[in-house]
Amino acid sequence: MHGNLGAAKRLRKELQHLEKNTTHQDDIYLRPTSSSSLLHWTALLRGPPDTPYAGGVFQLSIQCGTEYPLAPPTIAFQTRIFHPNVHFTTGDVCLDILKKEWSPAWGLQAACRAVLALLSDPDASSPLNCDAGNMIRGGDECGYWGTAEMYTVENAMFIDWPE
Amino acid sequence: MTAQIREVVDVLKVPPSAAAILMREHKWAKERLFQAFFDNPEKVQEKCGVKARCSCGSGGDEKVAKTSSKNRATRSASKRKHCEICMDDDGFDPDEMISMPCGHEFCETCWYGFIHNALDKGPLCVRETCPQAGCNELVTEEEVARAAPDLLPKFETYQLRSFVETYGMTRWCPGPGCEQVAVARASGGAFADAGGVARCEKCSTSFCLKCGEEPHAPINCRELALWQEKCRNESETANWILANTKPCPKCSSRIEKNQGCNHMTCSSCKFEFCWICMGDWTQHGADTGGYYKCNKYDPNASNDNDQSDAAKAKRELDRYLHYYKRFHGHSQAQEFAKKSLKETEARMVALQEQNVDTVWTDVEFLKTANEQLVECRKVLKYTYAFAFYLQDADKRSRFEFHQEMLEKFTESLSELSEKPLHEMNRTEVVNQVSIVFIDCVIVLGG
Repeated sequence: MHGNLGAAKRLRKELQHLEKNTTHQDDIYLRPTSSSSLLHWTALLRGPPDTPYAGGVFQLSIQCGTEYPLAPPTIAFQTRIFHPNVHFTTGDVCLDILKKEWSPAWGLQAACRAVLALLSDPDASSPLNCDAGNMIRGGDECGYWGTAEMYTVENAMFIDWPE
Repeated sequence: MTAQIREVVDVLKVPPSAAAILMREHKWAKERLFQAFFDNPEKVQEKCGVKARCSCGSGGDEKVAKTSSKNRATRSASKRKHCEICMDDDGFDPDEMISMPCGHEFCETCWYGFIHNALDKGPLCVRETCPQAGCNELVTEEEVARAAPDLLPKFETYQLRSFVETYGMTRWCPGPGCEQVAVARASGGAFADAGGVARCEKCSTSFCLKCGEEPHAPINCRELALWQEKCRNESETANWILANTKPCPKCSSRIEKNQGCNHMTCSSCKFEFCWICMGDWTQHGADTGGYYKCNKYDPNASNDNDQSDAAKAKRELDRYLHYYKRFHGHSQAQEFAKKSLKETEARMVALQEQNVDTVWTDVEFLKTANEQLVECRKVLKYTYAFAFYLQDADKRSRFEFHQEMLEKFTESLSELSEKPLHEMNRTEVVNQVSIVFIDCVIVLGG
């Protein structure tokens, strides 16, 4: 019973739920990338206010395996971002709930919300982007903020929020 | 394992499934668990992920657990239950749902998938927590039995494996493909240094209970690990120096040693020499009055007035090589002796056939001799690693004396048991076996 069927069924439920409850004010926009497969999704995140990412719109690519929701989805940033827990070139995200802390009761929206929380609250102790991690650990808030803001302006200001 | 769990159930008044987890999280050290538990039961239960499980069982928390489950029951009686994993619109009958002690419920199908998936992850499945996000209540054999009875044996195998690996008193048999478990009986004695040798009943592999290596008396586990590490690091140099062949000290023809004994006779010039020190064999035999001088390293043999770093390093390397060469020599001889165990059986048959009157027990001495030889080589091998770390000069000279005796008698046993069958003298071999046996005991005792 589990496997591809279970994943597709569950993802269809998630999509129905999203279509019912989405408004323009949301800070997460989440849809399957194409109508042909429910396993690959695209998400847009609004950079949280009071962070160097404010005003930016970041695109994520979400890949679900056939074991979903028993196994976590793989999430990567498509928009370049300067953040200690996001790989600068590949966009990989280092987040415990996407690895061993994953629970099948989480959904894609919850996962995106966790990524959004990570943007507001970076964890410098286990960095994927060492430069960003070192700035925060070294107390150079100003340098981190400035660099992250510059990359936000340079890369994250080109996507319009869908209606 | 079952006995240990029962005791914890009795003392702490917790369900057996919770007791197993509590013990595992405390590395099966009962006393430590009891102490921590009586200091602060709530904290221990919380930390180990068995809080809800313990409170639904017996004890003072029973009332609370009952009322809350009654609340749940009345709430869900009115409508069908919802599973947060598959989010099925229709919901499920209450009896299609399986719940954790923490109250989180999921449908049977999702539970099965969840457990199947957890088992695929391997040994860590014994630490799988409730599927609900952020809930740290652990999944136990109770849930597996309800949700996926066909996977229960696999889950229990992982539980046993985790027990054997975390509990200090047990160890898997290292024999290839063997699944036996060894349990040390007494807590103190069996774990004394270089003690605790176990022998598997099934595949008859012998091993040290503490480190799982081949029994390595007289050296202890810590020094053995040091020695093996050193041998790995130095092996490049040692290999370079110790090629598989050696030149004959007299005529320099390359000689490959393919039998166990150290008494070599060059096939081209008939020169007899000792394989270890490459010296003339006539200086070795007890019959010539000389001693077997091959086990001693004499630091004065090289010039030790030179105190420069390079000279010191060279002396240290020489010292290591002295022991390593002998360690390696006996190690190879041990392998030869092991291999010849098979040939010995054939020789036993041949020897029996020589004389019509001989019965099987009359030729069994050959096998005993061969087995004793393997044992002696093994002990000798480790005596060199042991001596390398032996600092006390007095102790070392005493140790080397016994080592020398054992080495001498082992060589002659090796020689005797390799003789052609028609020269074989049973009494001699049997005597030699008992001599080396006593020597082994002395070396290990000293």
